[in-house]
Amino acid sequence: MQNIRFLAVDDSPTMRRIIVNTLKRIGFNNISEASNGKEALAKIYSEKVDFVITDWNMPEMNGLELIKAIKTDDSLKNLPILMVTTRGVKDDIVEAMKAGVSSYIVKPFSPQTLKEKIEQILKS
Amino acid sequence: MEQIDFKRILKQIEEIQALFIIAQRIAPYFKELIQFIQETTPIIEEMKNSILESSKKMPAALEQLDKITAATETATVDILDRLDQMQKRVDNALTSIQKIKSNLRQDSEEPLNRTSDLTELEQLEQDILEIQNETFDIMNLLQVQDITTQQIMAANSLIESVQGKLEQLTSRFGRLETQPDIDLYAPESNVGQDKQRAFDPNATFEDRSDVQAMADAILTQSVVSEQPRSEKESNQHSVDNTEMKNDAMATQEEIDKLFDHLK
Repeated sequence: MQNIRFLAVDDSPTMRRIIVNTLKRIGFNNISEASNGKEALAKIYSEKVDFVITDWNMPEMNGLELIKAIKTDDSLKNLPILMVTTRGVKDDIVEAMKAGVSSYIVKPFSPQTLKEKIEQILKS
Repeated sequence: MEQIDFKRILKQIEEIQALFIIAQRIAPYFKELIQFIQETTPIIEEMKNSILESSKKMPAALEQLDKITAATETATVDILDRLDQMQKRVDNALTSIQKIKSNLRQDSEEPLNRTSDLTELEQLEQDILEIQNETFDIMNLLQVQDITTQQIMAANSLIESVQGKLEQLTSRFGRLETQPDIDLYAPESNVGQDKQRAFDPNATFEDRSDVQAMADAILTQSVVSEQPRSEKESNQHSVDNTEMKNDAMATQEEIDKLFDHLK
């Protein structure tokens, strides 16, 4: 389980660093990073990615577009996606859910929440 | 019969003629004045609308700036609290080290005080673990940077839209080349999207455990609705989606209601 390759997608380098450090603290050390959906999609196709953690608001390609792109590809549709975003309106959450997100975390988040959601997704 | 004063009549006719001449000369100016009023009325109307629009946007920008102040204040206080705790732990750790050193010095002459040393070492280990946790908490609190960046971008966006509208007006009044209309209400051009980074105008550093609970409930509901019908019925998890407002943050009451259904 600890060999799972994560992809942390966020346009904020601070937030990426926080996510990466939290993942390392949980025990996941195999982590790749991307600053937007487009870059993330390129990494998903070029590297072996097992789990995507993505922000919503990003330039070029946002998180929702990334999820839709992943879910429309048969070879990727089972890839777990955790969305970590400031967007907390119900409509947004429902939209993300419909797009195919596995779980949803509202920023600011606690490391415990991130751990719980990852464990939940991996169990299911 | 009264005698007709032709001289007076002639004078009056001359006066009327003079009035006609004046009117004839003034008429183009009147025409121009009417045209000017016709042309400026929409501009004045637009100016009124712009000022109204700007006056609505400026408080929103100010509100964003207030949110930034509040967020940085909260994060700073939290970080200072953690640093205070760390300082105490460091003091404790130093005391433990001093005690162990003292025990070790005594050990050269007296029997080894293993129990005392072990207790001090355990305390030292605990303090170091706590310091590690505090540093991790501080790192986590730095999420404030991402959130305040988004809040600043939202405020910038509002100020830029007001500036754009004012520039547009100035160019109209100055009879300069007309600039293309700036669509202040374009959903992704000014609000939510930026040249370098995208942002959420509603980003906040407040405790959002209620929103997280709502997100969890929605996701749980989604999983339940994907289950086969018989399984779904046995779980008794059917929730009416219309019970919560879709366009706003859910209230605690709405979340509780949703959770009651999920139980």
